[in-house]
Amino acid sequence: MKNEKLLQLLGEINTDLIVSANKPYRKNTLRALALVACIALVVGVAIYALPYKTKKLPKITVCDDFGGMGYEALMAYDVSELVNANPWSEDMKLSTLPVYKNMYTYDESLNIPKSSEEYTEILVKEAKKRLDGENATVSASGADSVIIEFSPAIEFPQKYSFNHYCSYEEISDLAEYVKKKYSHIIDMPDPIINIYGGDYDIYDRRMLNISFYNNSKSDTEKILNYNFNTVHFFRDENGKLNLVGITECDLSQKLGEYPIITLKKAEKELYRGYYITTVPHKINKDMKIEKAELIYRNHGYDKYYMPYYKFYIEIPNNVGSGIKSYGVYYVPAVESRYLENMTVWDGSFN
Amino acid sequence: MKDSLIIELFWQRSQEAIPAVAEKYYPYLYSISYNILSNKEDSEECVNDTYLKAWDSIPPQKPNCLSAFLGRITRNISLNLAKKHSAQKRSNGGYYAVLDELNECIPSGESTEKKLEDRMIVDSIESFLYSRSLEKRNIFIKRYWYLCSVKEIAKAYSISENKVASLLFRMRKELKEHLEKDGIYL
Repeated sequence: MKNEKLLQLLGEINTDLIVSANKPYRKNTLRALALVACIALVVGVAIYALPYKTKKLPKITVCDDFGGMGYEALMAYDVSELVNANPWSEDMKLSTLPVYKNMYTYDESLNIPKSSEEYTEILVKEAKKRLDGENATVSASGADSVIIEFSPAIEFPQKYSFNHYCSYEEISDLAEYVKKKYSHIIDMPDPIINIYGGDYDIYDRRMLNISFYNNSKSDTEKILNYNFNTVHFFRDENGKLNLVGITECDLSQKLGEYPIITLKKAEKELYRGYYITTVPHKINKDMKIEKAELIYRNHGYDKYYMPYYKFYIEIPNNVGSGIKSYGVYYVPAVESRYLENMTVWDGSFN
Repeated sequence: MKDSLIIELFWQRSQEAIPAVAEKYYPYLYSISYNILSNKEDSEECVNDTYLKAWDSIPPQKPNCLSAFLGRITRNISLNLAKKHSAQKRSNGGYYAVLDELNECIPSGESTEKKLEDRMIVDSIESFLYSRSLEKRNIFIKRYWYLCSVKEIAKAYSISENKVASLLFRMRKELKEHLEKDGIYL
């Protein structure tokens, strides 16, 4: 077997490589010294601050700036048509989730900050490496995402189609094909297909989209992958593959593991008015929750990447034809004692 | 006991040489073997065979680095035993998992019939490894030389298993490209 041969040949590598790999891992001496200093500091603080034994997590602010993009509501005949492969489920029984500082929040003029350039450059460089002879250009698309644009757009084999009229099963088949054919672009050890969307536009056309995120044995990591590290495949108006979007958010600044509330508690908070939304309808007790999931919001306005429960509530519409509108409302999943500015929603609309 | 003294015992054909090696290197050699075979008795046997092989090899050899010298012997003996077992069920954890992963590094071979000498392939693998950062290189060697599990590596480096898996996945892909660039098709 060829792989046995490779394994055997790997056994012949230089002694210094073998010895080096067997040494106990230390990032570097400075870091080790810093760690010692930190431990000393922590011990000192712990002695000084007794009985305050728990680590104090910094308070975080909830971002209620959505960027004036209209209101977030999805149209569908039934809520079950709104789909995605969000790995979160209530059964996970998570008690904490990590919160990160968004390193590249938009500046006051809503521009991507200059500080992101280095990070974006790396993403573009890495994305270029993923190409395998495809005729494509790679460019930045925000601080933490890049776009690969194929020119000309790539036609899928005849048995596949990618348009408004495809069923979920047809898109699933196509996604399986994409997963195999473009594994070098997806570039993940164990990609999970995420078919998402399923809502209708004003012309009554339904659209399902394809993306991928990496699997993990850890629930938290799977959630982070789903929200922050994704590869999306887009089509042009002729159903050809023209763009791939790669998002890899910079999660280098972790604030800590924050205690989170349960879905039940979040529902209560929602009806108490502690939510953020762009929907011009205030929640009242007669409005029914049709769907709920846990997500991280990750757009440029957010100062922090933090988890939210996302609720889909049917709201009035005047479209007719039996189609319904589901407004989206967010309740922070982090316990309120860690939130600086969470107030009852005032009903304002951007 | 210092390695130089142990080697001296071997050279003097002293009965103390093997107990001295065992005292110092048994856990290290056992872990290499166990990573490959996932079996206590087989691993112990491989380590004992390592001592005998070392006894037969020193002299004439005088290894510069005894740990790597012994580790290499244990690794080879264990891989051979695992190969023997392959006629039976594919039940030996680490060895087969690593073999499956390494499949991804193997260029297709259809485009060329040229076969290079093993040494050239090893040189190419080494140049690939030296061109990577120390951390990446060590993680790769931990996995494919020591056959450590992803979980063990993640723990040793205080990073997530997912990150280790992603890093290895990328490196396997890069190694394949590197070998192909060097005109190597196994």
